[in-house]
Amino acid sequence: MRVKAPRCAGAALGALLLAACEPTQLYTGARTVIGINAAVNLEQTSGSLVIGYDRSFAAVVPRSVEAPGQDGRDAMSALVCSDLQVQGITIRHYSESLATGQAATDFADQLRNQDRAGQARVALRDFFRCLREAPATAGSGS
Amino acid sequence: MTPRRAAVAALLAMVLPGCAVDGIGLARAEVVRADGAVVVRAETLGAALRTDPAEAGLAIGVTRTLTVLPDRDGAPAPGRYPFGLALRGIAPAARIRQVIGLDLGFGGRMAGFTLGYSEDAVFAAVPAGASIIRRLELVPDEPGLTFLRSCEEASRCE
Repeated sequence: MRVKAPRCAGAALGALLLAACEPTQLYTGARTVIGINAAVNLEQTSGSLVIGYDRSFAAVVPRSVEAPGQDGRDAMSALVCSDLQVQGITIRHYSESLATGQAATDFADQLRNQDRAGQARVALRDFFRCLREAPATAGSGS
Repeated sequence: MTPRRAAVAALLAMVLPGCAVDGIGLARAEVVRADGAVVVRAETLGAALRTDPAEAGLAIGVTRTLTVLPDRDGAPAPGRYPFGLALRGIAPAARIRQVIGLDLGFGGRMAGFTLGYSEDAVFAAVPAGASIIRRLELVPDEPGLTFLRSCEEASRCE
């Protein structure tokens, strides 16, 4: 018996299960199953059952983090570009560029910095594959 | 031999050929140096027990694990390790685990099992309050082509 689960549903379920509690990590992962898979979160509030084939890719970002020097919490800053290539059932290539927290904020600011030389901004854009491939727009500083 | 004893003997024959705990035991590993990273490929035939609380579990069958570690002090030296390699205590940059057989998981936030084939990959697990910039290029079939750069400030990533 072969049951096809939509990839978006599998990814959403995976993210939902992972986020049953407030996530404390920015998490990117993938799972492929051929056969029988059953899982339940440790609070036993949700579970999943797969019979057949299922592949999912999930990115989980914490909703908030502690903000140093401030009362309360702030949204987590994260900039992520990822590309997953598969052949058949196995992963053939994965590329990822990510920036989190203050580094992500500073990275975005430096991309817009009009005082830096064009070469420096190109080097920063090169570090993020998706920015390197995207066309430069007005105000991006490139 | 009674059927019950035959079943136990068959199970032991399946498990005993390979038994590894956290990558050490009747397992084999290979370490390859890449650009900014050290890639560890490990394989176990039989039982593979994982005791790390984040990914605790038991796999019975064929277990193949590819782990990407930052190339810094404490990383294992390149070469072949006929009895496996302990990576406990070294935070990986990425990990891909393939299991053909039965995989029981009871770590992290979820518990469950997989019977058949499973491939679990963790590419990033960054603490919520961390401030890092990282770039990873992972080629599982060609670990020497793996690329890893990690820095805390944008100015150091150029």
